[in-house]
Amino acid sequence: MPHWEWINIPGLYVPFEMLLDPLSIIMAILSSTLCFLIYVYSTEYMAHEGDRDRFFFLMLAFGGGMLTLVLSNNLLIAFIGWEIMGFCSYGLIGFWNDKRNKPEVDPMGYEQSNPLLQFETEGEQNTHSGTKAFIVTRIGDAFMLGGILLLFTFTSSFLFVGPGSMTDPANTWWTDMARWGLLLPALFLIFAGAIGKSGQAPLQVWLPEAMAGPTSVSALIHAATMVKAGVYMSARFLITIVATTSSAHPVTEHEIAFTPLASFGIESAITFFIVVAVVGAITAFMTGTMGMVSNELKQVLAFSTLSQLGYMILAIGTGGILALDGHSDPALLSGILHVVSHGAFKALLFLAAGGVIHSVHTKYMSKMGGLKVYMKWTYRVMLIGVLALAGIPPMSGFWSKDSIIEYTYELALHNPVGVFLFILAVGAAACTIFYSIRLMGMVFHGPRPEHHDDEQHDDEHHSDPHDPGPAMMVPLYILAGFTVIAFAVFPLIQQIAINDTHTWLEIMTEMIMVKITMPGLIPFGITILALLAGGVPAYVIYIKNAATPNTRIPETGILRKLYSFLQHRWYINESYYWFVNKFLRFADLWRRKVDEPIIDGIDFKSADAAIGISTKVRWFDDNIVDGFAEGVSTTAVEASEISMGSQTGRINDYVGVVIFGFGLLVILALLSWGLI
Amino acid sequence: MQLDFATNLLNLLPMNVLVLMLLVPLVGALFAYLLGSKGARAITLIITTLELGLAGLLIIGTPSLGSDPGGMSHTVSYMLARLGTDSTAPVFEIILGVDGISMVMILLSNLVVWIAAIGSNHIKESQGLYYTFFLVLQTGLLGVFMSLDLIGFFIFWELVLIPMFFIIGRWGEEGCRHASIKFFIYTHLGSAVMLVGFFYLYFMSSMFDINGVATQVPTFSMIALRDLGLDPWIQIGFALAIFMGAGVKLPVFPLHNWLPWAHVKAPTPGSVILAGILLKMGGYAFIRLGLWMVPDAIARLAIPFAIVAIFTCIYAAFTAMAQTDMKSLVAYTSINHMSWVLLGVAAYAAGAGSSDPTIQAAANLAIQGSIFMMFSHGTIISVMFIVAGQLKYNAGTREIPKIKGLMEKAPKLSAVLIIASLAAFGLPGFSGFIAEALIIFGAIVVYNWSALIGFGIFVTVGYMLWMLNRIVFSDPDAESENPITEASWSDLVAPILMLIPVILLGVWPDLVLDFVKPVIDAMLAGGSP
Repeated sequence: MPHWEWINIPGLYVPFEMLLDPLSIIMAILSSTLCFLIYVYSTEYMAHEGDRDRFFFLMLAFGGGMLTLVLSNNLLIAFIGWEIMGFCSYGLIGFWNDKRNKPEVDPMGYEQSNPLLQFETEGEQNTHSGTKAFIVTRIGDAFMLGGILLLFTFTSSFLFVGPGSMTDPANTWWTDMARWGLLLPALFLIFAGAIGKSGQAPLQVWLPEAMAGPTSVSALIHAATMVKAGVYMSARFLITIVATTSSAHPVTEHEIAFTPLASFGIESAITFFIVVAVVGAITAFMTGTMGMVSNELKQVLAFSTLSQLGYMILAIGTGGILALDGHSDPALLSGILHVVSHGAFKALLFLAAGGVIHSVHTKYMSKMGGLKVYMKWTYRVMLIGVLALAGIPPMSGFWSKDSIIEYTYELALHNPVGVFLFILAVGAAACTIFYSIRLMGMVFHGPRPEHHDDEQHDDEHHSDPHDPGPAMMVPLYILAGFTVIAFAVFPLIQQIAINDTHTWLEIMTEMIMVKITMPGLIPFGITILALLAGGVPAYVIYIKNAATPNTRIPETGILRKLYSFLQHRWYINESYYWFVNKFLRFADLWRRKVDEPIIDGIDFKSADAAIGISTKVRWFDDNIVDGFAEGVSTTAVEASEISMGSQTGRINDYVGVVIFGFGLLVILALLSWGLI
Repeated sequence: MQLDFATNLLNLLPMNVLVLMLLVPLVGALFAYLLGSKGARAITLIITTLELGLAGLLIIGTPSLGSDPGGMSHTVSYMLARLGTDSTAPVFEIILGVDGISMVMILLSNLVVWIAAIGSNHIKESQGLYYTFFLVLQTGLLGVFMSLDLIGFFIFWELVLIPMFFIIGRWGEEGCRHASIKFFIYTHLGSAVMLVGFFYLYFMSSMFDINGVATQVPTFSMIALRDLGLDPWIQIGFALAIFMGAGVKLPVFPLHNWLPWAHVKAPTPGSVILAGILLKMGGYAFIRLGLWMVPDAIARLAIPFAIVAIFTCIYAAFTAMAQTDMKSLVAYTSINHMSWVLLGVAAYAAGAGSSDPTIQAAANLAIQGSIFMMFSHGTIISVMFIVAGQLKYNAGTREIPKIKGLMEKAPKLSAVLIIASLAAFGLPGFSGFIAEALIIFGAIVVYNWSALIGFGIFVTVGYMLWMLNRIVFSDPDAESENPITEASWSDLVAPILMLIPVILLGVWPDLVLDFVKPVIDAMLAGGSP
C-alpha cells in the first residue's frame, strides 16, 4: 500500500496512506467523474465572470478535498480533506460577494423580521449564506473532532485497515470503549459531523441557503462532494464497525448477544444505528415537505437533495440494524447505489437549472413558466432528471430508492422502529414526486409571464430564452444518458461493492424479480400508491391546469396554516436565527457593560504601564549602566586633560621641578640620616 | 547525517578542509585589496559563496561525532613554538577540529557572512579595503569555531575584533567612531580577563601534587584539559573568566552597553555580522569552553547564570520597547534573545549531572534549544537588521514614530519586515518558536522558576507588534518630509534568501538538531574519548 509518513513519534503514528476498497473506489470514481463534468460545464457557465482564478482554484481544491477524504486510510487525514471541503464551500457559496444590486425579492415569499436576515445587497446575502454554511457544518465538525480524539484515545490509531488499525483483531478498542460506556458517545460525536456535512436534521438549515453561489458550485456540493462526505463517513464507520465486530466474533453473534458484559459485539452499537436511521428518515420526510412549497428553483432542488441524503443515511442506519442479523451489505449497497444515482441525476438537474436561470435571469419559479418551447433540450434532460428523482422506473433513482424502502420494510416486519422508518420513507417518496412535477410544471409549462417589471427592460437586448452552448449541454447529455441506463450499471457496482459472485444477468433478473414477486411486491405496491398519491394532484394542478392561476389554498384555514408552516421550513431555521440574534445582543451587552470598561480598561492600563516602565528602564540603561561606563572614560579623559596642564613645554619649568624634587630628596636623605 | 558522496568530495580536496576554509578568505582578502573597488565585491561574493558551499559539504560529509580524540573530525595541528628544549616541554600550537556543534556554527557563520556580502550593496566607499576586512573577519569567525586549543581560540577571537573595529569605525554612520572604540574596549576588556583565565588554567594543568610538584606537562589543548579532571574550584575561577569574555560578547547585563551602540552605528552588513555571528561566539564559548570543557564549574554557577539570563531577557525587552530607533530596537531584541542561550546553558549545566533521567532529558532539550536559538536568531536577526537598515534608504529615517504607512507605500519591504518580526517573537511555524520552546521545556524541569522568562516573551510580542502597528499598519502621512518608496529587488534579495532557513527550520528543526544531538548525548554520557 503506497504510504508516506507524516507524523511518526511514539504513540502517534499518522501516515499518508491510501485506502482502496470497494466503497472508496466507487466514491472516488463517482466524485471525480462528476467533478470533471461540472468543471467542463463551468468553463462556459463562468466564461463572462470575473475572478475565475479564485473560482477554479476553489473548485479544484474542493474536488481534491473530497478525494483526500474518500481515499485516505487515515481518519485524521480524512478529516483534513473534510475541512478543505468546508473551507472551499465557504469560499464558493459566497463567491459573488461583491454584487451590489439589491437581492431579488421572492414574489411568493414572506417578510423576514430577524435583523440578521436584512440584506442591503445581494453580495451581502451571498456572503451570509457562505458563512452560514461554514458555521453550521463547523458545529458538526467540532463534535466530530471531539469524537475522533475520543476514539483515538482507545484505538491509538487513526487507520481504518492495516496492522494496528481499528479493524485489526489485536486492537481491542471496541470492547474497551463498550466497557467504559464511551462507545455510543464517540460514535454519536462522529455522526454529528456527518449530520452537519450531509445536512441531516437538525443541522439541515445551511443547504437551502447554499444556493447563493454559482450553479456549478451547487452541483458540485450536492452531487459530487461535500454532502456526500457525511454519507461516506457514516458508511465507512458502518463497514469498520462490522469488520471490527465480526473479527472479534468469528462465531455467530446471537449466542453472545445474550450474555451482556461478557463480550461486546455489534449489538453495543445498535442504538447508534437506530438513531442514524431515524435521523435519516426524519430528514427525508421533513425536507421533502419543505420542498413542496418553495418557490426558488434551486432551493427546491436543495430540499430534494436533503431528502435524498436522508434516504442514504436511512439506508446506512438500516444496514447497521440489519447487521445484527449478519447481513448489513445489501442495505448498505442500496445506500451506495443511491449515492451514485443521486449524484448523477442531481448534477444533471442542477446544471440544467443553471442553464434555465442563466437564460431567464431570475431564480424564482413563479417568474418562469412556458420555457418548454424555448429550451427544448434542457426540458428533455431535466425531465429525465426529475423522473429519476421521483423514482419512476426505469430511471436510476427508482432502483436505488425503492430498494432502500424495501429494506426498511424488511426491518418493519420484525421491529417497531422499522414501521416508523417505512412510513416516513414512503411519505417522503410521495412528497418527492409532488415537488418534482410542480417544478416541471412551474418552469416549463403554462404561459410565459409578461415582462411587466421595469427592471426587465434593461435586459431587453437578451433575446428569448434558449438552450445553452455545447460545453454546458454535453455534460448534461452524458449525465442524462447515465441516468437512463443506470440500471444496467448497478449490477456491476453490486459485484464490486459486496463481492457478489453472481453474473450480471443473474443480478439483473434478481433486481427486477424482487419487485414483482411476493415479499418484495408489498413495499413496491405501497410505494407505487404513494407515488400516485403525490403525483396525480401535482399533475392536475401544475401541468394540466398550468395556464390558470393557482388558488387551491384558501387565504385562511388549516391548509393555509400548514402551507405557511412548510414555507417557514418548520420554523427550525428561524428559531436558530432567533437564538443567534438573542445571543449576539447579549454578547453586545456584555461587550459594552463588562468587556470595554473592565477588561479592556485593564488591558489599556497595563499597556500604558508597560510603556511607562520601559521608558524608565531605558533611562536607567542609558544613564546608569551606560552612564557609568561612559563616566569612567569621561573622568579618565578629564583627569588626563587636567594633568596635561603641567606639560608646559618650557625647559625652565621642567628644570625647576627637577631642582625642587632633588632638593626634597636631599632634605629627606638628611632627615633619615638624622643630620637635621 | 552523513552522505557518502560528500565524504568522498571532502577527501578529494587538496588539503584539510578546515585549513582550506580558513585560507580561502585570507587569499580572497589579498585579491580584494589588490583589485580595489573594481572587483572586490565580485570576488567577495565568489569567496563567500564558495565558503558556504564548503560549509554545507563539511556538515553533510562529516559525522557529528568523529573518530578523532574528543569526538572530533578533520583534526589538524600546527605547532607555533615549544617552550623548552626537550621533546616533553609544553607547546604553543593551533589545533583545529570540528564536531556537530562547531559545524552548525560554521554553517551559520558562512550563511550570515554570505547574506551580509549580498547585503553590502550600499557600501560605495573604499570598497577594496572594506571587503578585505570583511574576508579577514570571516577567517577569524571560522577559526573561533574550529579551534580546539586555547591559544588558537584566543588568536581567532581577537582576529575578529580588529576588522570589525574598522568596519564600524570607517563605514558606519555619524558617531560610529565612538561606537567602535566602545565596542573595542568592552570586548577587549572581556578578552583580557578571559586570557588571564586561559593562562591560569594552563598553569593549573600541571596538576601540582600536595608538595607543589608538577605532575603533568601543562597544556592549552581543550581536549587534554577536559580529560584532566581539574579540581572544581579551579574550574570555577576559569568559568568566571569565561563569563567575562563570553558574557560581553553574548551579551549579558550589565556588560551589554557596547552592543546597541555598535549595532546602531555600524553599516548594515556590519550589524548583520555582529548580531548574526559575533554574539554567537559568546554562546559558543559558553558551550565549548564551559559546558564541554569544565562542566562541573558551570554546574555550580548555574543558578546565578540562570538568574542573570532571565533578568537580562526581561530587562532588554523593556528597554527595546522604549527605543525609537529601529536598529536600536532590533539590537535590544538581540540581547533579549541571546539571554535565552545563557538560560539553556545554565539549565543544561544544572541538569546534566543529575541521576534522574527526566532531568537529564530536560538538560538535553535545553542545550539543544540553546544551539538552535543561536542558529535561528542568527538568521532572523539578520533579516531584521537588513530591513531596519533598508528603512534609512526607503523611508529616509529609522525613527519609528516618523515612519508611517509602510504597508501602503512599500508592501514588499513590509512583508519581509512582518515575517521577520513574527519569527522574532517566536510565532509557531518559524524557527524562533522551536528554539524558545526547547529551551523553556528543558529549563522549566530543572528550575521551575525559570518560567519567569515567559514574561520576556510576553513583552517581546508586545513591543514587536507595537512597532509593526506604528510603522507598517499606520496611515501614511501625506505631509511627511520623507516620502516612503518601495525597496528594489536588489535590496530585498538578501533578506528573502535568509527567510528560507527561518521558515524551513520552523517546520523541520531536526535539519539542524540532528547534527547536534549525538554530541550532546556524548557530553551527557561524560564526554567521548
